[in-house]
This record gives sequence, C-alpha cells and structure tokens, in this order.
Amino acid sequence: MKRTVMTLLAGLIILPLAALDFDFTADPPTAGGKVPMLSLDDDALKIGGTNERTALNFDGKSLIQVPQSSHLSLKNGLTAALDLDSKDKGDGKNLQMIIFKRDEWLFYRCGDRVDFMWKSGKKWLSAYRKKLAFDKPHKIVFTLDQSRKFSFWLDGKLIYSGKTASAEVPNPPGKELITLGGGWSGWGFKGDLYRIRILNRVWNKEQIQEFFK
Amino acid sequence: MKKIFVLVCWCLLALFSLSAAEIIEVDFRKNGQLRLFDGAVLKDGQLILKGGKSRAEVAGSEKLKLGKTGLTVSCVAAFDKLPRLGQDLFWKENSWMLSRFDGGAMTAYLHDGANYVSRTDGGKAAEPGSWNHYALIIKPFVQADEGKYGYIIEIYINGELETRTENCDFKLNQPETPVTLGRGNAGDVWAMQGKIAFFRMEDHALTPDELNKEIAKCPLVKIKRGNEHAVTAPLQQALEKLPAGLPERAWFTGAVRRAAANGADQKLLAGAVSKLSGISAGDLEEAAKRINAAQDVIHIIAGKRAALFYMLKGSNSAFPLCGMLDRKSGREIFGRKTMNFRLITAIGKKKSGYTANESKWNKTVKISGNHVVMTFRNRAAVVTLTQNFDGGARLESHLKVRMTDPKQLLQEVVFPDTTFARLNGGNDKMVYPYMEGVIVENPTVRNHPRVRQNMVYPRSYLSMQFGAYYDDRSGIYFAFEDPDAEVKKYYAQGRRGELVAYWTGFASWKAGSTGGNRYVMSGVSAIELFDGEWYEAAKVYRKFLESKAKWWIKDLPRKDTPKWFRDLPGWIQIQYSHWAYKKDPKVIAAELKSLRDYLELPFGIHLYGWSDPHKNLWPHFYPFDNIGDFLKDLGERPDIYVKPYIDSRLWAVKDGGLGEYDHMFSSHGKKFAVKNPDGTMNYEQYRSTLKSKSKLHQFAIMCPGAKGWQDFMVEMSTRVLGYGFHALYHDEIAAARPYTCFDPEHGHPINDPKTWIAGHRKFMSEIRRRNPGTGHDCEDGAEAFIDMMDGLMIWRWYGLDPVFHSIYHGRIQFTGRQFNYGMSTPRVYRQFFPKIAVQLTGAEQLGWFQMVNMQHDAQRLFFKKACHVRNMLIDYFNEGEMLPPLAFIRSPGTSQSDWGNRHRDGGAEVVTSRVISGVYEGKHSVAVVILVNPYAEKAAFEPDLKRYGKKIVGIYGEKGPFKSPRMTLDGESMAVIVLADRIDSAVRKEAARIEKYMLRIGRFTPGMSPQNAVKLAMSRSKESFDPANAVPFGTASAVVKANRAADGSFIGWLRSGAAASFCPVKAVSGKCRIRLVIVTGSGRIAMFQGKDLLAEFPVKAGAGEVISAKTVTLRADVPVVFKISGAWQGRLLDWQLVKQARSADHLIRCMEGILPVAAVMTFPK
Repeated sequence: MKRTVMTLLAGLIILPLAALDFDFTADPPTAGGKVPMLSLDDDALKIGGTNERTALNFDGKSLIQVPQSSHLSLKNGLTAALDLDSKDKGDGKNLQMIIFKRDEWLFYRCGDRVDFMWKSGKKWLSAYRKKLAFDKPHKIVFTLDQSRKFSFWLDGKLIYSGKTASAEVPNPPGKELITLGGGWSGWGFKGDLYRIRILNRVWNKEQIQEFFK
Repeated sequence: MKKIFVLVCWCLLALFSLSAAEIIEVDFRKNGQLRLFDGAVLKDGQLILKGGKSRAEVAGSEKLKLGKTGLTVSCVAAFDKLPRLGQDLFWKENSWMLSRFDGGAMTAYLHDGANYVSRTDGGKAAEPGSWNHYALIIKPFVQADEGKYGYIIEIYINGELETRTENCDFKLNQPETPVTLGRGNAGDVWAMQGKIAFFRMEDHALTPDELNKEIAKCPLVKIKRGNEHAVTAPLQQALEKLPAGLPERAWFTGAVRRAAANGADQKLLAGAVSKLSGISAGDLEEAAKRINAAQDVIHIIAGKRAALFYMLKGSNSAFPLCGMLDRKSGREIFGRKTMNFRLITAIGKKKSGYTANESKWNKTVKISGNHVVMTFRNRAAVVTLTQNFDGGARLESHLKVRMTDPKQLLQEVVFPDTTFARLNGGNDKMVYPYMEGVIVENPTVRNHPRVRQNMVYPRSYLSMQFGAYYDDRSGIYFAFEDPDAEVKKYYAQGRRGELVAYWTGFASWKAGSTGGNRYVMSGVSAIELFDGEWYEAAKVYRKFLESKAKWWIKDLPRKDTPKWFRDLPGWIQIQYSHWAYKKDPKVIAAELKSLRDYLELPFGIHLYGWSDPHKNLWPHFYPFDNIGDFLKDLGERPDIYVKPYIDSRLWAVKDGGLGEYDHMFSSHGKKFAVKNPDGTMNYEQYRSTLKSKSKLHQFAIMCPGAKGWQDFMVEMSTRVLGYGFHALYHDEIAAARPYTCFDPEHGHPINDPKTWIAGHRKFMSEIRRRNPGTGHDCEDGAEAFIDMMDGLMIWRWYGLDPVFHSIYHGRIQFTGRQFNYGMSTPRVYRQFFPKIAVQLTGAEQLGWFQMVNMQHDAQRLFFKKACHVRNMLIDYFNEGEMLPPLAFIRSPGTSQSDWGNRHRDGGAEVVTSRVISGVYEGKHSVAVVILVNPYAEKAAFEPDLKRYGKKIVGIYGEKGPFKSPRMTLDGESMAVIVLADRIDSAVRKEAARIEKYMLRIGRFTPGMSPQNAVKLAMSRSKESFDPANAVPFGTASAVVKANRAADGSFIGWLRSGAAASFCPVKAVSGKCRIRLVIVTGSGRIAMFQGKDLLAEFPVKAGAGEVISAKTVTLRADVPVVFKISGAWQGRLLDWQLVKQARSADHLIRCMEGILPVAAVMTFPK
C-alpha cells in the first residue's frame, strides 16, 4: 500500500515535469516543464505582443521544433493550453499550423475556425472544429482522454465536451518532435503565442481554470 | 451437450482458420491470372520473359500480406542465361523481392518504405535452363526480452534451406501493389530472361515438408539431393569397437562420421577404424602416432592447441581434411562439412566449373610431418592444395590451379570455402570485415543490418581480409592473408545452423587465351585458434600484416605523412558552391578564421564544390575564378589546411562544359575505362551540385592499370595541388567496388586481380613523389590503400567496435565521420557528442561536420575540449598502440541518440555506453584511459583497470584529479587515467603534463560562435544608420543571442553574449544615449566600433536610459557593435549620439541607471 502511494505521489510529481510549458511573457521566456526552452537563436524568431506583455511571434514563415517533445503523444491522453493572438487570418483558404506532431496530431487555424486532428494510419481525422472571433487574444484549452472524449475550453468557459466522432485509433507515439508555428510547407502561423502548455494527461476542471486566471 | 458445443466450436474454429488462410496460386495454363507486359508471353503453361521491360503481374496479389503466421512466396523458374549482373525473379514493389544476384546466389530484400533495409543471400548459381523451385519465406518474430522485433528470412531452393537470417529494427512496408514476375527494383538492368511455370503465395510460413509436397507437384523440377550418406553398419560397428579410453575419442569418431556422411569410402574407413580397436594411448600425441602407424587411410596430426584429421585415400566427395579439434575447448571447429574449393570456368561463352566435393577427381594426399600436399586431378584441371600446420593453433592453406584443358578458361576460384560448427559456449559472435569491423551476434542464424555479403575486396564494404568467430570459451580466426591485396569477394553468413565463410579469387590470363591458364593463390588462407574477442583476433591478423603485407607501415610516427596532417585535431566540411549550402566565400573564410582563433589549434577544411562544373566535368577539375582570393583570404591563418575534393575513379561520358559534350572522353577516358568481358563499360551517375534538380550525368569507371589514366591522374592531381591546396581528397577509390578489367589494350593481364591495387599504388606513389608535403585522403577506406594515403575519411563507419582502428591507428589518420549533412534540428542535436567521443577515443581526427554545428555553444565547447585532449595525447594515437577495450566493474549504463539514417547502414537510434572510452599505450609503458561522457547527464561508474596490469598514476578531470576510479563524470566532460608499469620521474612528469592540460581544458568556455562573430562584423543594412537620430535596436544589421520585436521597435530576451551591430553608420559624434525599458538585474553594455571600445554603460534595475560619459566619434562604414553582459534583462529601445545633455546630475543618474522610465528625456529627432 505504502509503495503504491509512493508511486502515485512520484507520478504526480513527475507528470507535470514531463510537460511542455513555455511562457513567452517572461523575460527571458521560461520553460516550466521537462521540455527545455526552445533555442531562440534564429533571427526569424521575433518578439510579438508589446513591450508590456511579450509573445513569440510567428510571421507565417518562421517555425520552430521543440526539443525533447517526442513523448507528447495521444497515448495517455492530452492537454494543450494556449494563450495566443491570431491576428492575421491569412488568405482564409490555407490553414495556419499552430501545433504539429507529424503523423500523430495537430491543431491549426483555417479562416475563422480552429481544428484539432489526429492521424490514424495514413489518414488525418478531424476530431473537433470551432469557429472563433480572432479579433482579440484567446486562451484555449483542449483535452482528449483515452476514451477519446474531447473537451474544448475558450477563455474560461467549457464550449464542448463529448466523444469524438471518429472511432479510429490514433497512431502510436513516434519519434517526431512537436513543431510550433508550422509543419507543412507554406502553411505557417501568423500571430503571437504568449503561453503554451502541452501535457501527456488530461487536466481536471480546477487545473484548467487555473490556466485561465 | 457440452461435447456438442465444443465440437461445434472446434469445427467453426477449424473452418475459420481454413477460410482465414489466403492462397494465390497461378494456373499458367489459363489466361486472366497474369497481366502480361512488354513482350512477356504465356505459352504451353510457361511464362516466357525476354528481359527488358517484359514482365507479368499477378492479379489479386495486391492485398495478400505478411501476417503473424508469415508469408511464403514460391515459384518454379528457369533462367536462360546467368549474366554477370543479377536477375529479379519476383517483386512486390517497396516491400520484398527475390533475385538472383551477381555470382549466382539468390538474394532476398526487404523494404521499410524508404529503403531496402535487409538483404539475405543464399544458394548457388543454377545451371542455365534448369528448372528449380525457389521459395522466399518471411516470418515476423518478437524477442521482447532482448527488445528485438523483426523478420526471419528463409530462402529455399528445391526444398532445401539455403539460408536463414534474422533481420531486426525496422517495419516491413506492405503497400497494396501487385507482385511482378521477372522484373524488380533494378528495372531493365536486372530483368529476367527465362521462364516461370509455377507461382504461389500463402499467408503462412510453409514447412520444408510442405514445400517438398509442393515441389512434388512440379514435374519440371528434377531434384538432385545433397551428398549426405548414412553411416554403414560395418563402419558403425568399427567405431563402436574403438577403445573407450582413446584420447579425444568423440572427436575422432565425429571426424570419421563426417567423412562418411560427405561421401568418403566407408568400406575403406571401416577397415581402417577396425585396425584401431586395440590401440591404447596416454595422450593424443601418442594416439596419433599409433593410429597413423596402424593403418594407411586416416592420418592424425596432433599439435599443442589443435589436432587435424586427414583421409589419405578414399575421401571421394569428402574433403580430405575431415576434422580440426580445438584441444583447449575440446570442440571440433568444422560443421557438417569442412573445407571446399570451387573452380568457375568458361568454355567459350558457356560457364562451367568444378568443386572439390562434387566432381570426380583423382586425388592424392601426401603428409610429411605437419606439411600436407593434396593434389586433385581431372580431365580439365590440376589443383594443388598445400596445408602447413604450425604445430600449435594455426593451419595455413595454399591453392594452385592449372587448367590442363586448353579450351577452358579458369575465371574464379572459391577458396577457402569453410563451414564452421556453431560455437555453443555462449555469446557467439563473428567479426565481419565490413568497414571498421562489424560484430555479428549469434551469426549462425542472425544477420547484421550493416553487413553486405559477396562484396569485393579491397573496398570499404570489405576493408580487411579476416573474419573471426568466437564465444565465451574460445575463438577461430580465419583469413585470406594476401600480401598483394588482390581483388576478391567474401561471404560469411549462417546457413543451416552453421557458419559458412568463403573467399572468391580471380584468375587471370593472357589476352587471346581460350584456356590453359593458372591460378596461384596470393598468400595463404589461415585458420588459427585463439582466446578472446575481436581485439585478440585483430592481433592475430596483425602478425601477418607486420611480416608480409605490402601496405603495412613499419615505423611510427609515419614519416611520409606530413606532420601537420598527422597531428591535425579535426576537419570541417565546407560546401563552396552547393545549391543548398552556398555562402559568400568571404563569410566562409571569416568564420573559419574566427573558429581557428577560438579553437587555439589548427584544423583542416574539406572543401567541396570548389571546381567550376562549367569548366568541364570530372575528371578535369578546374576552379571557380574566385578560389584564389578565397585561399589567400583563408591563408591569413596559415594553419588552416585546405583539402579539396577530386574524384579519382570516374570520367564523365559527356565531360565537356557542364556535361554538354564529349570533350576528352572518347579520345582518352573511354580508352582507359574498365572493360567487361564483352567490351562494355561500367558507369555511375551523379548530379551537379549547382542545382537541386540538375540532370544525372553518366561517368565511366576507370582502370587504374591503364597507363593513360595513371598519367592523367598524376598530372591532374599535381595541377590541382598547384592552386595552393595542402592536400587532396580522392573520392571513391578506397570505398567503391574494385573491378578486374578485360581490356587487352591496357597492358595488364585479362581479369587480373593484382592490377587494381598495383595500378592505384603506381599513380598514387607518383603523385606523392611529385608533391612532397601534401596530404592524401580518400573516401571510407580499405587497408590496401593505407600506404598510398595519409587519411581515410570514414564517413559511413557507424560502428562502435574499432577493429580496424586497433590495427591501423597511427599508420593512417581517420579524417571524419558523417554528422548529418549540416542538419541542425533538435532531433539530431545529441548525436554530435557521442560521435565526437567515438572519434576521440578511436584515435580519429575529429569532425567532418559542417559549420552549423559550431553555432551551438555546447557542441563548440565540446569540440574544442576534444581537440585539445587529442592534441594532449597525440603521441599515444600516432606512435602508441591501442589496448583492449575498457570493461567496467560498475557500469555507467547506456544511453542512446539519433545518429541519422541517411545511408541505411546505421540504425537511427544508436545505443552507446554512457561513458565512451579508449585505452592506449605510449612510451615508457605509460598507458592512458580516455573517458568521455558525451551525454548531458552525469555518469557514475568504475572502470576495470586490472586487465592492463599497470599501476594507477592519476585520474585527471577537467576540474582536477579524481581520488579513486569510482568516478562520477559530469555531462559533456572528459577525464584521463594515467597507468604505468612503474612510477618513476618520467611517468610523474607525463602525469603532471596531463593533469595541467586537463585543468586548462576545464577552463574553456563556449565563447561566441564564429557565425555570430562574423555576423556582427560583416552584416550590412541597405541604408546607412544615422545615429544623430534615435536608431531602434530592432532595426540592427545583426542581432545575436537576443530577439527583435516584430515591429522592429526593440530587442529583448537577452541571453549570454547578446549583441547587436549596425553597419553602415554615418560619421557622427556625440554622447551615446541608450534608451531601455523594464530592466531587471544589473550588468553592462559595451559599445565597440571595430576593435575599439567606444563606451561602456553600467545598467541597473529600473534604468530608463544610459548615456556615455565621453563623446563618441564614429567612423563611417565601420560596424558599431553593442555587446551586453551581466545578469540583467530588459528591452533595448534605441540609441543615439546626442550633442548636448541636461544637467550633470541628471546625466550621472542616467548613467547609473537609476532614473525611472518616466524620467526619460526627450531629445529632438
């Protein structure tokens, strides 16, 4: 029993550490989880936001791979939390990739909606899409548990929670790294990313609300 | 009821399993199951294939895939001819294929979706026109305890298992493509000419019995079974009557049974054995004397470590040497068969041949002491096989063949062809001389993904002439010890639970001969019993090299290699004109000079793309017009050595202009090219590096024995060196496949195996003679090139066991490994460190990465530290000797990183020890143990130093000495243990030198990257900056270690070494004011122009602006650089040179950074 409790405690300690947690409003940006801070030594990576509240800016061409992020798969459930300002809708036809894990899952904006997809075999399956007004920054949290129940929170409110339509099994975890701001040529994100957290588990309501504070 | 239920369930299950089996069997008498293309014809129940594009697709085969129960693909086929190249039999695109390979063996390939990742060879050449049953069986396997997941491949010919391999660490690609008969991945080149009369697929691995039932239904297949014979009753009785106390009785009876099983005259054997029933002997030596005296059929030679069993007569189809005992381990080393030779001949255009155990030979065996002469005579040839036993552990064999048939040409000789029994003492492993020496675990059944069979020596894929097979009890060394390094092929792979190893040599003849030629084996083949692993086997091989090999360098340090080349720490790969890596040559030179200053050591650059392809293609090599300026610029640091690329093997068919016309190919190149027997040439195809999608150019492979090519190479190489280079890189010559040439105009014998190396040696020695002081390097490497070269650029040598290095370090430099072509993604970040560690501990020169790696602070620092450790220990590497690999009392564990997989001969994830090590002995019996932790985390371990039999003098790390060998080594750090037989003043002095140097290494810092240094110094904006007005930092010409605001209004996110430069600037003077916001912490900003420090600004928390104490006067067009230091964060808004300031008090407060943002003065713009 004691051993089980210790294991659980260790798990509670380790799980947050295994996360990706980047805060670009900090000066300099900080990494709060196991995944180390990105190398920002690329002149294409610019500071977005304002003097007062900085963000990582993506100009539609800049993208960045996240070291040591290959474990952030859908296998044990997923939480992604973003604080972002998607100022430019682009041409409205082509998507703007925000988070991309090759052959596993992605989150993007296309026109006036955001879309979460996963890959099963060679097929990309749309799990959820939502129209948004992009005239102001948004805080978004979405979760996917092992039963493939998907939840989408926007600016502190639960917008959707339910089983995804697709019954197909997501691809197993691969070796690919998370890419922020792009992934497929020509489909880059134009906007600012203030904060991003990605975890290999599903946050509870309190943890989600904590992000919106 | 219950019984009925069970029965129904069973029936349903049976029905289900029956219906689940998928089978496709083509009826060749009906149309519709095969889709015929391009001349393929179905006639009389046979598919007739005419080569080229003719082929047939099997309808319905798209969806039949390999499942858990395996897959069997079988066919009955007859090849019309056996051309020198192979022929593809059946093929599922990008999945699997069975082909007849060069030389006749069958070859199966598996594909992972990107590449063919596994290859399995087996069988022997079929007679042209003969019908045979071929089966490829693929079985998935899982060994979870070892983390092994893969596929077993079996090739059966006529129901006999020819080969079985295990192939791990990839996933078979299974696209829904149809199976193609008669054509495969090689297209027209390997298209089949012949007939197929049966084809079947089943999603189940058939057993040999099931295959034989299938074959029985195919009347075209006439099976001749192997020549294994049952032991007759008289022989059995005679064996049983052997005295129980006969020394090594089990071995002796085993050898008799082997002889009998292979076809020896059992009546003779029984008679001989029956004469031994009364023999008694105290030891094997005595027994041998009595056995030899008692009869005249069997002869035993007993040595200290080994004993040999010969049949003097009546061996028939058995080989006269029927057994070899390892007396120490008490084991017979041979398998079901022992040795063999095969002669491959030609009568006109028809292939023929003879083998020792299949043909009717008139044999004699004469033994005198430890000297054995076997003579094999038939109507076409006389073979003389001489064996010399050294009385200990070593048996040498030498073969001569004289063709007595004047109309039959001897072309190839397979010898020695040896079958070893599986070593069952645990952890059996084989050394395969592929590149650095691959260690194959459990080799009687397992394949190694890197090993390629039947490659041609001497090349990188077959770099040495020895193999070894060992387990925890003992080892067998087997080698072709040829001092001339003749061209030859090698095969060593598990077959039917045993290890089969053979060499194939080439026989030459005079131009115009139709037969009657000879083959005299160059050197000997050797079998030697030893104790140990790969290191000890390499030591056995080295004895031969030291005494006989023509390429062996006797004295160290190697005097004919320039000292600068020998001592060089490493190499950087520079792409001068490649479309993907192109940079301004001035920037390249500036970055290299900056790196030289950082490293505090010389280094070399391997220069690609320096020759202008518009000025004729290979092998002409004329430089771009600006190469002289580049060399002059770089020459400001005289110890940056430049080694340009040339190819020393090929001649472009269209060598004029950018591959546009025939410039000298027809007049020169064609004459000097390697010719095949039919007069055709051999080609390679490459693109120009100027454009990503340039067309492929065709290049012919040149014959090094052609004097015209030798002369051309000498002149061209001398001309290129004359441009001001220090060395030459001769691409391909030690890496690519050697050929025997059939051109009678070249002056060498036809099919001569000596010409390849002798020709290269001739032109390379002349190049070296005419260009003293220059270095010569080549791709990958093979031992026979060592005396011609100074370096081997072993870019594809992925392995971790330095077999080749243990023999040749110091005699040749190893000048680089592949570092992922300048990719800089996080995924391949870590591999830099273990690769550098493997190089350092393997006595290699470091690098051959591109400059992109020097952008990373940690990689740059690690490289500098490794360069200096190499520099510190250079005499050990170049004059000392590698000792056996380090073992650990307490293991540091393992770690892994992605090493890239570009050439598919390395796994993407490579596991190494957490601490990579190498041990070398130098002068005065001092040895150094180099320990490198290339991973980020600390490693705790204890090395086992007892095996070196020396005292520990000291253990020296970057932060100081370690107190004991129970060590914890920081991530990305190094340490050296000094050992000595006895500790005297010379040893103490050496230890003190190493201790001091290690402390110096520990003080190194990453500094600024060459790229950033050059970026700050050389970046220019389109318009001049006018510092009379506020200049936003976000508009700087260059920003390093900080980021610009997207709107250009500021820079922030300051990191160590942050800086911004502005160029061009207008010549303005005034006091420099810098505006800042949200400052936390404290530090400094320094303002430079060129090397001049113009002003320094202390920065404190809350600072809004800082102003220089003195007036600053800027020179026009010299970059103004602001360097940030200290522990502070903030945004730098802009800077300006102002003519006047407010009160002195205000100024002082600004300088001290204590005024808040709101107090920032406004200045006229």
